Amino acid sequence: MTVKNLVKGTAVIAMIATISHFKSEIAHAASDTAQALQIVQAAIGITQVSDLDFGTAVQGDAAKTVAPGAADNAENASFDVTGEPGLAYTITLPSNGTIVMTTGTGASANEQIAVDSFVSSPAAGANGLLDGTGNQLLLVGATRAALLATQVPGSYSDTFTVDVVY
Amino acid sequence: MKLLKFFLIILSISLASEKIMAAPISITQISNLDFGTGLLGDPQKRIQPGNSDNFENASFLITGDPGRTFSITLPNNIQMRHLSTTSRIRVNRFRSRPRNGRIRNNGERLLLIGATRATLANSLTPGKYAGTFTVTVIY
Repeated sequence: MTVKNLVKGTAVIAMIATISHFKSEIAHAASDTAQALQIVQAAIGITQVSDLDFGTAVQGDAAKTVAPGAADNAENASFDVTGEPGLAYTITLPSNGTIVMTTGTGASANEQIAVDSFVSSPAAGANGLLDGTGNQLLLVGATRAALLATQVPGSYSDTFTVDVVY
Repeated sequence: MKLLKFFLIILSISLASEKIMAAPISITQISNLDFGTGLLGDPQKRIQPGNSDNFENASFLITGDPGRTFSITLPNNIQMRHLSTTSRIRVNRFRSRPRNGRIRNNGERLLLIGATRATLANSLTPGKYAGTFTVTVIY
């Protein structure tokens, strides 16, 4: 082998070694995976089925209490609560002094009838529990104040709100 | 002979340089990106990469050459799929902390990932959703 050929061979080896060196410097990469996770629950909903109905009374009648009862009836109010099967929820009823049924302008005491002591089944608080199909019937009762001897005859009404929340 | 010496020097430099090759970079998943529990109709939810591993962000441990800078590739978007139906939830706007980092002196760097989950449409099927995403690091 001549010196010239030896130089050529060495040059080729040097170039290969250099190129391979650069290749090793191009990049090191690595990958790994993770999961993105989400649990979705049906939102809670409430739909009114029937009103709280104190019926017909005469002036001077005593206070009347409608019990929540165990099933929807002619007097109690009822609501369908829907949502995530098996999930508990909290019920909030109107506070005393907030619901007053009125007739006419409702400006005078004898055109007003207070409704207080709201009670529900299941009871107010964290006592609601949706069944396996995501439903529960919520029954509501309350007490109507005694009617004044001067109570203006007519139809009395007011609106009350029941809140449910998980 | 001078030419021979020159090439031998180049060769020796090349061979010597092999000894300072960078250690491979590696990445190992520590925790998942967890959007928790949501209700149908909930608005979109954003998880920040944050400053440390927490119960929501995803985290990875990167190891490699101390002091070496690296770049990160995140997905554009993925779908979380309901485990038993075709219902899906989109996840996009992946963000990382650091955006592009440097391996610390101990040869490690914690990589934190956040993203944004789409609104939970009322048409979604309630239940568990999961989707896999890949994070690539390179130097």
